[in-house]
Amino acid sequence: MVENVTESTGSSAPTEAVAALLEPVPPQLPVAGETTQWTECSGEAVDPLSLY
Amino acid sequence: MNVLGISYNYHDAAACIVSDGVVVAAAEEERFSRDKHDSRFPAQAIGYCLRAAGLGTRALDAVAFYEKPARKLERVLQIGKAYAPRSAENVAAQFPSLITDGMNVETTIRDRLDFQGPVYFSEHHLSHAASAFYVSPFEESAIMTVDGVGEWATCMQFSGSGTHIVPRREIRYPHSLGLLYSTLTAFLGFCVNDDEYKVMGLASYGTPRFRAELDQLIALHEDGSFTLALPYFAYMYDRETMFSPEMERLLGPPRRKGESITERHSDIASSLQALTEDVMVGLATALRREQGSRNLCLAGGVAYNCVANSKIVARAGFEKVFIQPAAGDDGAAMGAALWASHTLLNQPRRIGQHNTLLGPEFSAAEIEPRLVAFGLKFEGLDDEALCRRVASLINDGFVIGWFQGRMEFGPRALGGRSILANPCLPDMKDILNARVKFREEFRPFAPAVTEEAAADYFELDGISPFMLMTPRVRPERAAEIPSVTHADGTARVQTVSRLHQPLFYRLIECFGEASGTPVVINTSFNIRGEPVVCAPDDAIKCFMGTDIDFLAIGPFLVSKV
Repeated sequence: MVENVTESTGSSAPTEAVAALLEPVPPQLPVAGETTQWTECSGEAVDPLSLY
Repeated sequence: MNVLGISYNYHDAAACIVSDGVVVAAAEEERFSRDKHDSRFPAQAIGYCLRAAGLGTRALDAVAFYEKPARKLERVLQIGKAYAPRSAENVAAQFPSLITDGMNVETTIRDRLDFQGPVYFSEHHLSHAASAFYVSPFEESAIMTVDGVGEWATCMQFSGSGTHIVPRREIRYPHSLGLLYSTLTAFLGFCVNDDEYKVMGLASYGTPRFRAELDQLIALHEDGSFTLALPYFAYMYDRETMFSPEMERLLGPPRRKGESITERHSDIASSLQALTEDVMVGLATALRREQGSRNLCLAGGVAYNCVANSKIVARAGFEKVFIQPAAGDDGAAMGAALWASHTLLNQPRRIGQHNTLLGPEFSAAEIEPRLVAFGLKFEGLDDEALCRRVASLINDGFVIGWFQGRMEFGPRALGGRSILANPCLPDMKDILNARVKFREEFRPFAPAVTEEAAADYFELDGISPFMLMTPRVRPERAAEIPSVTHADGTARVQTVSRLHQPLFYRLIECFGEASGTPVVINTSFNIRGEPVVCAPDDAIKCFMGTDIDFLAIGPFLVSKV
């Protein structure tokens, strides 16, 4: 039942995934004069196993 | 198929169990830890949900987390880079948690639950959308989610049909209606992510004379979307302040915490509320035009803005609107579990009326020893006698703690963990604010009314079982229920059905027989700054620590004398 809800044992961060995220990416900030802020969704299904 | 949904790491951590496509239990961690808005891993809420479902973790087919931690980390890093170097402190403050907690969610879940099955990651707004659509009474619906921010999205529109939810379009951070509201909440000296509803209540006391100034904060587009004027905001790089010096040049000095509230503050709140309503109606109207559905599902923190919700119902063109009563990140735990259940595990939906009474309940055998342990004087009554006695006490002006059945999931007390009082007494609002709730005098109280009497007292078309609508009190009834009629003539009403809440319904009915008015004040069973009570000990301590006169807990009526 609930006895297997245990305290965290802690673990190390997944450094490769973090390193990939630290790669420079142009910021997606708005420019003046825009007439919409909608971004259309891609239609791709969510990858349920991905943290990204 | 059993799925556990979890949300944590930001605020309002929660857990939910969905079995064979049906929500069977859900609760916020704060109710157990007694730490308001607790964001930690919801171990106690998970433990409760498993007990309620009669499951061990090995019986779970999947665990679903409510968002994508890596995409959230990406947003913090990209925005931090865009606003460097002034963002450095903000990024540094968030980074450890995003790495050690966020990126290790799966490890944490596996370690703490000893779970070897699949761990799924939904998306933040998809979880909100799922929390509303899958428990709505609609086979198909347009869906809108609006909050501060998830991964990147701050507002999304989806279409839902059967067990499928399709994302259509989104507005991305830093353009956020939720964060605009929170920024002005901070400007008015209230707590971000906590006190936004106080600003909504304060708005009724003001006039929107700052609307022209606030219109400079945001550009509304014809397609319903909006662009914030970012120089007025600082939350992209400074989460403490939220607004920039430009905001002070626009609106004057901000209110410091604890400073008295002036007409100017009420007027800024009123202007913000009017602006928010216009944006929400604009978004919903565009969605109606775009998708053509007659139904709308709403979720996300901004969906707690019941005044804006009422404007959407009145103006956006939808025939039916369903709002998830746990619209914030707590409800996203439910959404994640429902998404995994219906989308990934192909469980069927069971369309019916959603019920928020998903938390723990306690038997008479569990309650009585606690009353004895606290040395309290009490008597046992059957349901009918209890309702008659409590109704009579309310009619005599006493304040009642009402602890019955399962606890609510979501911030509203809806007759499970409520404080009840007589709405006909003009000074009852002040008594409750000063002696029981210890809160600001401008805060309104909500009425609970039998479904059958609702239209006699309120300009309400249909039902409002979750206190997410604010219809006008009928002018001829306002003097009859002064303690629940807000400054603007509205009330955040709860309609109570005999079918779904027979005991609470009978109590209100008995009060109607005693007083001629089938309406009671219904406010959450807690005091300012504390979570709503969960267990008998919480209720007893709140009862003993305030001027609540009687406690109706299970079949027992407890008095202080």
